[in-house]
Amino acid sequence: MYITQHFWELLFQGIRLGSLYALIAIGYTMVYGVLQLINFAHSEVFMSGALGGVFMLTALVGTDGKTPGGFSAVEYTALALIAGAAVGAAIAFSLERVAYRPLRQRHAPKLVYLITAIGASIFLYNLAGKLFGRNNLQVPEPFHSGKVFVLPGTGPAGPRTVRSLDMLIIITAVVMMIALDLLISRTKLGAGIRAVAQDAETAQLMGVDVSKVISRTFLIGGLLAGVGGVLYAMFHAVNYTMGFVPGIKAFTAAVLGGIGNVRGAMLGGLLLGIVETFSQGIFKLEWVDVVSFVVLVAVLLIRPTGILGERTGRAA
Amino acid sequence: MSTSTETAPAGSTVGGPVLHAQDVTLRFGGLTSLDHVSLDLYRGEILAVIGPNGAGKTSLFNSLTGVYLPQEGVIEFVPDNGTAISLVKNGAFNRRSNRKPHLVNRAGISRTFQNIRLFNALTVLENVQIAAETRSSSGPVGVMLGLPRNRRNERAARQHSRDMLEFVGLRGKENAIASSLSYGDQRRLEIARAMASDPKVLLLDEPAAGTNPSEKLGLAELIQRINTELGISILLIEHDMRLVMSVAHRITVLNFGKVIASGRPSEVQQNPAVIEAYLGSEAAEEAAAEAEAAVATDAVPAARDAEPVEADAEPEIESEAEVDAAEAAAEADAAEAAAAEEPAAEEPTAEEPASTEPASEQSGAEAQAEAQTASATEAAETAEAAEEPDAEAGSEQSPAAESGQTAGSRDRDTNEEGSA
Amino acid sequence: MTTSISELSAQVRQLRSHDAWWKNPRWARLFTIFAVFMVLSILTNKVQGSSSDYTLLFKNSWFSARGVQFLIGSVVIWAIAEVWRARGLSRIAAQAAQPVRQVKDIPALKNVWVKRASLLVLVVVAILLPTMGMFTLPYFQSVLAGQVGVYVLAALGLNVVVGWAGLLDLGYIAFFAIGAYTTAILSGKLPIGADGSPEAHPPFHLNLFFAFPIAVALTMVAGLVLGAPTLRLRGDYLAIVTLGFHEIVLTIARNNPKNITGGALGATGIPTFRFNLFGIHYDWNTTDSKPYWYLAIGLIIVVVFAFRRLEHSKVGRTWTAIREDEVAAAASGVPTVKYKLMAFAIGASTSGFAGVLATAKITAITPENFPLAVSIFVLAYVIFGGMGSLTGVIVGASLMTFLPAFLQGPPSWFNNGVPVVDPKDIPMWIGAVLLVMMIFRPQGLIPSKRRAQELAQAEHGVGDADAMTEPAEGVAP
Repeated sequence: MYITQHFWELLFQGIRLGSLYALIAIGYTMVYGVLQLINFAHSEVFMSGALGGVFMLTALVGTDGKTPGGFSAVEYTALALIAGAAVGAAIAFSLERVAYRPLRQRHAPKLVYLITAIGASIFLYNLAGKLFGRNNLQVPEPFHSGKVFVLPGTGPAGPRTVRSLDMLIIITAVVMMIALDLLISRTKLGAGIRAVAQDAETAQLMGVDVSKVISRTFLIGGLLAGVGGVLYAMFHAVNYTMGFVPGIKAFTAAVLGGIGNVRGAMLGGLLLGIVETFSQGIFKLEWVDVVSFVVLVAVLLIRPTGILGERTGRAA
Repeated sequence: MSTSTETAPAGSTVGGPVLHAQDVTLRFGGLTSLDHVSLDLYRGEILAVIGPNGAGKTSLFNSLTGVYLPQEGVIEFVPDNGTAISLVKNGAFNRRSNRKPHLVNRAGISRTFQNIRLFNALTVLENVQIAAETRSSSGPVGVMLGLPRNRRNERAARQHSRDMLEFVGLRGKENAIASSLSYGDQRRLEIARAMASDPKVLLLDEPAAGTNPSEKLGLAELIQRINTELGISILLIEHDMRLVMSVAHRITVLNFGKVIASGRPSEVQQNPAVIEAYLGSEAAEEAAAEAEAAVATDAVPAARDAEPVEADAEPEIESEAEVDAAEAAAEADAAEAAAAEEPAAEEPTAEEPASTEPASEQSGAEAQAEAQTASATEAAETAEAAEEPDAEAGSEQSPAAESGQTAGSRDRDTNEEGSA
Repeated sequence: MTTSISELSAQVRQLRSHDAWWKNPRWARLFTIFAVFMVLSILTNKVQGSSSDYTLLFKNSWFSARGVQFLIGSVVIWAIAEVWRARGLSRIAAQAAQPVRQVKDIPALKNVWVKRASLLVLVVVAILLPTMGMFTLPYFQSVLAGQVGVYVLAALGLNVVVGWAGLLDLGYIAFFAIGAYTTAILSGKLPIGADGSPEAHPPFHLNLFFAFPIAVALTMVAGLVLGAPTLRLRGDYLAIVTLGFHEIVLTIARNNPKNITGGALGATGIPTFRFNLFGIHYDWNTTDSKPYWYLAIGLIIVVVFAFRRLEHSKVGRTWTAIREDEVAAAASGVPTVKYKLMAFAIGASTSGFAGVLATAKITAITPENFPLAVSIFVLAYVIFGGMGSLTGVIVGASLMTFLPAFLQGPPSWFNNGVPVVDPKDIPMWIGAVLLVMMIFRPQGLIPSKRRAQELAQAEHGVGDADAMTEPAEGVAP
């Protein structure tokens, strides 16, 4: 069978894709935890991070097709990731300030939040289209992606080769997730986030600055999604609508792992990436998106609180 | 006020109790909210459930109405001497009929809420219509086509709603927006709405909370009329002992999720376990004297003649103590008594099926917040300020918090429901 | 030592002036207005950005003459606003506007016959519209029939879901697409046989008017199937599931399983309405938009009547109760999930209904006719107009479908017939409208009184204003 023959490479690709989904899913889940809001515009945060990385790379590497090597490669890659993180964080932060904070101050009902979110999403990606054109953007390569090792399996060695780009993606994602986990569990901000997620009003009574915590939650989520965007841009097309489908999938991943639960988002992302990649081996490529939808519906029907259980409290 | 009956059982025992709960146990994580609670509501009687804050009273209501699913126990509802409808059995809802609150209502059990839950943007009449119309069978297609049957149903429901409003005394306010009514009227409206679905059993959750003495009188009268004129059996949670003593045929006392006494009011008054639970301080004993005097029950020896109790009666006692102790106290002013009778702090409601953790983390802040609200309410209501605010407010919170009625949510007037 | 009042106030003023001057909220307001103007400069710029020069649009909008114009404009507006504030002109303006506002309360306006007469006048105007002014142009007639009529119908359906039941359906046009494809299949244009010609294997070849009830039934079933499992959950989940559902419907349409949907090419040459009954024979013709417009008006009138009845009935009241306080509604005996499902199904079938109408006019459909963005657009129409209000929705949908068409292809007397807006930018503006409406006026242009009240109350913590919470059901804690 296809999937048994290509097991390791599918698994690896799944982990690679899944780690990106995890980075994006964390943003969804954290915002849901503190605001009980599905931030539909998070997919645009992801896209803007990708754009930020692309701009940085274009500025540094240029569009003439020459790929740098050695130290420049490392430097440029790092700068691209930082740019993506910064842009993502900035967009997320502005989103909260402009769109969600006025709602929060008014204690708007949930429907209003959701509609605002989807409105922001539509606005942002079309704005990006206006600003940067509606075609695919050219992404300069910051480094030569060479072979690192080859996975076992039958079939041609090409697809079974793990490249440095793949390693970069996985290692960056893992490092960021570990850092985030530490932040959530060990720092004061993390405690604040957890407190606000459980019960914003009591947290406020306990001296937590809820507005600041919420802002920072968006910043963190945006940062992670931004990095995810840059990594994604290195092996996927970049255009103004690129955020939409990964966004839905990442949200599915967040629900799969347990909405509001950060570790759940990580787990859900990985799982969904693996499931999706394996389903490519079973179904035709065009039907793969359906698989994510089916997963979402199945989770909602069978275990709506997700694998690791949800962590939500009362709205801020 | 009428006297509570103490001789013949007011409720009819024919066909068994109309509502029967046996060994109902409800746990939230590590917290046991109801511990093998058994009670029986007989046909046509008024049964009051009392107990300190956190004793599990609202949890009991929620279990009876399908909001919570007790892990153990049996709850049965026997309408009209017919076959029993099992609501809950061994940790599972009756799949066929009564899994959900609206089905419980359909079966014939209605309830009101501790902090009034009206449909605020609807008019008074519409609020009641909602409940009345649940019994009519109009569907959307019929409505859109304007079928005559639908119009007939609507007219009938409207008339029934008007009758209910008339019964509770709200006629003439039909077109007022619900949120514009006075507090006492809102309570009546909620009762009217609960009655509009033609229940056999009515669960009233602290209907007198926050009402002034004249409103309380009216409520007591209304409750009795519902019971005698409409034949509805009533299960009543209340803190106001005067009200309880004047309307209840029987009383069940809960503490820490367990039933500690059950029986006629006079029996319960003298029950040592009950006295111990409330542990009369001076204020409580004086309240007992007042309550008895007001109720004019002659079975109990006059409280006034007994010895004054020392002022240093355990201060950390829950002195929201409304249940009269047999011993009397010499001093303590009427103010304190009245203050002690008022719902000292609103019991944290746990109405929503919340997927929440035990609220031990919340208790601290809540305790303080509630303590403040508690003292504020009392200060406002009594002419002479209670002299021992800490006795009312602070002390009762800790046991309340510990006994964990607070699992789930806190009682805040409206917002929690909105954001559930 | 005693100090006089004037000395004291002088001291206070001195102390106050030590507060950093830049902390004065005046400058924050300047910054906000400036930022808004800079964003507007980009949004209204005719120039489109490019994928090869990322800074193009920024340079053109900000670091240019245009940028300076907008900068000056922002400062001017800010100055005017500050003066307005300082002189308390809002109060004066409100007082001046009093007589205008009191017009609303004239008893004559509330008379039932007056209302009915004005409705009749409106209908007559609508019917006569294609004979007036710019509407004699075929372009605008086509806009009326193919866009305004169709999307008003669709918006009326979405209003039931969002405005009355308080649920969020983000994939509304999926049902529209199902209605459209049903029409194509029923009229024999699909499935397309292996030889590429539809005529070879059509199982149906029905008059298009039959498509209406069948599409309604099918989309209602689809709505029930989708809603039944999801409506038991939180409202957020419904939103995301409907979003996914729309994508799935499109994926199915594109992938053309068993040749039912015609894949990316879709269906063409769909016949249009034909009426042949009681000796009356009439064929609609796609070259003339007017009959479609009249048909649309008729359908809208029927739907409006039916929905009005719904609104003021037990069903409408129950939806309101569910929106207000679902727990109390359930405790009063309301089967909340059933009513939510009802609203969802009604909305879905109305969408399918509108889909049939649209397909008969455009006679050729592909999956790209029904992108997800259109679902959001219809939501914007409802929100902009006023969710929960029938008039609001009709006005909102009409305006928001007509205005872009007008700005994209104005008649000669407006801007010399030069388009004011690039059609590619329309979605961006619609998103902006959604955002702005939600932040500043969520009840919409012409609010439903009850909805506006609910929203206001919800903001003060009294009650809910939507049905987005979990249904009140027994759960084991």
